[in-house]
Amino acid sequence: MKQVVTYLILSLFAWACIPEDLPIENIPQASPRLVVSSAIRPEIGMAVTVTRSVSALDGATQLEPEQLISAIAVSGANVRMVKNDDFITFQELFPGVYGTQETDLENNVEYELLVTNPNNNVTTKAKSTYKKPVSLIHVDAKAVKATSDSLAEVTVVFFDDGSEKNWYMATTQPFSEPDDDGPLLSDEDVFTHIFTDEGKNGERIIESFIALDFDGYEVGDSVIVAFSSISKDYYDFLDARENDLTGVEFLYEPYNYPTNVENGYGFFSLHVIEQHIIRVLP
Amino acid sequence: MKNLFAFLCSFFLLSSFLFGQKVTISGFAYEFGTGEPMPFTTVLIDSIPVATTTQNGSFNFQTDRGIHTLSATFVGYQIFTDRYHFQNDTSITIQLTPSVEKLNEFVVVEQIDFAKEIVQNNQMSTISLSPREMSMLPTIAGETDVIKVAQLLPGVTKGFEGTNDYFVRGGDADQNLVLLDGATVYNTGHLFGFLSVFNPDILGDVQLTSGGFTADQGGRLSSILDIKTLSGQADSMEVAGSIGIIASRIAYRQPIKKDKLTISLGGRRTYIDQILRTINAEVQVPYFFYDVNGRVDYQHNDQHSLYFSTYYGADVLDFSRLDDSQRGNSDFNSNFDLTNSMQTVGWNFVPNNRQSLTTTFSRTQYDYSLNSSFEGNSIDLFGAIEDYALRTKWTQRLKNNQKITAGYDGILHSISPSKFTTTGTINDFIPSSQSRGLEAQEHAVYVQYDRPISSLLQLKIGYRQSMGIADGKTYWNPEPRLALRYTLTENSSVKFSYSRMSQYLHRVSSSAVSLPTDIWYSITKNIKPQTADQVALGYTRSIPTIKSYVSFEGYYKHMNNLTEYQEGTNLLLTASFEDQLLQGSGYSYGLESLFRHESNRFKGWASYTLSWTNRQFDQLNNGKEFAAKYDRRHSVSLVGQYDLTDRWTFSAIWEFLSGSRFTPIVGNYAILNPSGTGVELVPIYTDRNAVSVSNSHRLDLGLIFKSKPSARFKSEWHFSVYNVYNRATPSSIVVRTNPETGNLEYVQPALFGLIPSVAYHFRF
Repeated sequence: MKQVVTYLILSLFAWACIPEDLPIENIPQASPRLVVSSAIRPEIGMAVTVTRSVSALDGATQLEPEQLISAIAVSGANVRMVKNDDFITFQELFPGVYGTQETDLENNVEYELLVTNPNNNVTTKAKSTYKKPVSLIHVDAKAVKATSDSLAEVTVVFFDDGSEKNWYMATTQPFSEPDDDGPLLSDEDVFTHIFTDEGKNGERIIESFIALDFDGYEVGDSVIVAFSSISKDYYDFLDARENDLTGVEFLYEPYNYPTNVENGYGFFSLHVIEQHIIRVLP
Repeated sequence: MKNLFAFLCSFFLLSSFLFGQKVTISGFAYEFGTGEPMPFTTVLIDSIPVATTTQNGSFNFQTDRGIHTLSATFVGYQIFTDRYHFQNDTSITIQLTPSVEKLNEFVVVEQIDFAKEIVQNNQMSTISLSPREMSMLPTIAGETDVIKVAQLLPGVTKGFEGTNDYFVRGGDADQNLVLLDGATVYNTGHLFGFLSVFNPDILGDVQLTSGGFTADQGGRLSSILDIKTLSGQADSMEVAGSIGIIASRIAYRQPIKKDKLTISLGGRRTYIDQILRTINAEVQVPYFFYDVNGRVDYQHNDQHSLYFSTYYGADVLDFSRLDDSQRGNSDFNSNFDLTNSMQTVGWNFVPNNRQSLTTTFSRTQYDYSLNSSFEGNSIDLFGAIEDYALRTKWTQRLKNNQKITAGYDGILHSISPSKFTTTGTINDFIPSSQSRGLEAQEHAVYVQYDRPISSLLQLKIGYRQSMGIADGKTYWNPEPRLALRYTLTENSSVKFSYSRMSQYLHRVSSSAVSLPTDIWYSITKNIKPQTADQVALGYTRSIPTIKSYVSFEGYYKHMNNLTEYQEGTNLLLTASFEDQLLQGSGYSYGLESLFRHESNRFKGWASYTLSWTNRQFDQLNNGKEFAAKYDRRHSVSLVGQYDLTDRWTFSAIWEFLSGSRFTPIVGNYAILNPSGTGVELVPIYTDRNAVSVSNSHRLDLGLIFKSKPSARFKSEWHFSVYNVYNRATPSSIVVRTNPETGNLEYVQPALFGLIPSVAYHFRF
């Protein structure tokens, strides 16, 4: 009897078949635009990526970083940076990645990036003010044992430039050997911590934060810690980006992130990234 | 199991001894246009007085089954009369229309049918639903749901399938005031909105007003759903109940002292968790809901009556109820509780048949808590709102069918919008936060004057002065009201109304989905009250030959200080809600049409609504106007029930809704990550709510088999098929890979497919 009732109930629920999903067919396609982003590494140079935006329904978004870059890269672009009448010209290092070793920029001076799209000869512009680098005087990472995870407590120490209000960024990610054939892109998730010198203007700043990684950090792991003094605009951009990092769409309100690229997307920022590869200590 | 079988057999055998020839007729008498109870109305069967209505307009009597003429009379009102075929216990709503003739001239008019009464009613944009009528419609999982039925009315549309939110004339979900015996109901849904919290067996009368508000109506911009439980004095013990697939319920009324004191109790609980656990210990559902209703009606004398009504309901999702084998990771535990609690004390004072005073004092509380713990970490989320409200209304009837109504409404709100607590390592990433508690007051005084201008023109004019106090700041809002009815012909009339409404509470939801955890937020020194101005123009025509009427209403509504979250707000990490809230404006307009038919065998309606609704916020969508989320262009409902025989009734619902709107990600771009070591993707959204999702339509069928009309123990088997042609009823929007093409696409998964159900209802 017990089995009969079980089967009856289960059959009843099975009968409640789930119909096919309804398609939504009138989704507009985002027209491709030029996308610009940048980074400066001391003693290496400055890199600018020039890519195109893709449709959300384009499978490109599910590719690995190298595959994605090669799929959306804009090759053959004319990339240069202007201050008054002085031009700095970028060379294409990899498809869509342009670089220059000329990083002797003037502090608090605005530079304009010009990118001419080879496909339509339209020039896209973006402006950013160079922030001189602030060097770390100490950095370390210590393992923090949680019940189920092992995390890293990262500490960076530096002297704040007391001349003005400053905005800072420190990031952490697991270190993995780069692929010599690719554009040196890591597919590791980056944990970003942003902060200001509020209340500590001109002082020695010791900033500690807990870094999260999906696989956790163990004692002896190598991690990349990057540090930079950034502009307020880029700080606000990173602050806005933090909101959607939950990965659950309905937990944050739709937002088209700010861009300083005219007729394009992305963010052109002249901040110098100081990078350290360190071991996680006990 | 054997015991249960034996019990059921005994139950049905016993019922066979309870057959009789009498049926119980109960109901309410209201004044058309105001919806006010009509005390001391004489009810007649075949011209013989059988009952007099109580102070709250209710009546109850027994008569022989068969065909009878039921009449109701009250001095100064047209006689209500209609013929009924009483086969079972029946609930009847009597609506009396003030006579246009002089008060002291007792004029017997021709038989008034319900359609003609609608035409002669001064109140527009108002629809009453009888519990009996609702119970005869197809249901999902056997549970009659007043909110689901209300969603089928013209001007009302719904959110995603499975939710109890509804949207009236372009308003937001929080702009609908739901009252249960005068107490505000903040959460109307059990099972995360799948079912409403109202036990159908305790419902007395349900009335939805979406426009043409009178001065005594206030507190929300868009609609007032006034739900009253069964009231008045019962003649004898009454028991009603239902056994369904997912829940059972029972209601009990007992006169303690005849014509003096009656108590009513009702309860409902899901038992799918218990059944599955009993049948197979490996199949466990850690969820259940329950609710209980209680009411005491005391008739002190002909002038004074008191009542006390209470409701308590809860939804419990508790994973600790699962065995370790079911939980998997035994270190994980989570529970989510929603509770609603309402109490009302009411006093009716009717010194004579020209004056009445009704006063209620009510308390309502709604709170939710989410507690999760795993391996030394915990996340707790808590929110609550509690109100104390005093409402009093004085009605004075004057000569020549004039009437003055005046009163006071006052509410004290205490709100804890959100308390978010984390412990353990997770606290480093998601710190605890607590939004500030809010205290706010609402007060309103009003006066309304109704009078006939001529034999063709009726006027209602009212004024409500409301105020809200919070954070030491006071907001004043004048709320004028006007309604006119002009009789074109004996069977047709034109109606016009204007009303301004104010609202001192906001419910803020994500733009993507509404959740039970959405915060209620009162006015503050920065958050202003919402206001709306609405005009409506309607034409109503009765078609007596087929016992039907048609109505057309056009409306325009402008709303100010609507509330939304800022773009980019993280709803999980936000505690300082006030910093994230924006206020803007909106407007809506549309045309509603309704054809309603009510004869002995067939009852039903067809409605069609064509509407537009838009929003404008300076800080949203670059300041550009955008469509509201539930800007559904077309809405169609066909609802009907037909008595095939004395014992079989067939019913059907078909509804069509244009798709709601959403803001999809239409593109992505890649930028260097902050460390410059890789790339990350950034989404590109369309303009806000730029895309409409698919239209939805659904057919539900029902078949009811009733016990013999002569049976004293009345029983009914309700067979329903929800979503007969198994079309997806959208519940969410996701991106998936098309299995055939390999391309990504947006789709709307279904919440439910075809669902057959059966329920057994009984009453004795």
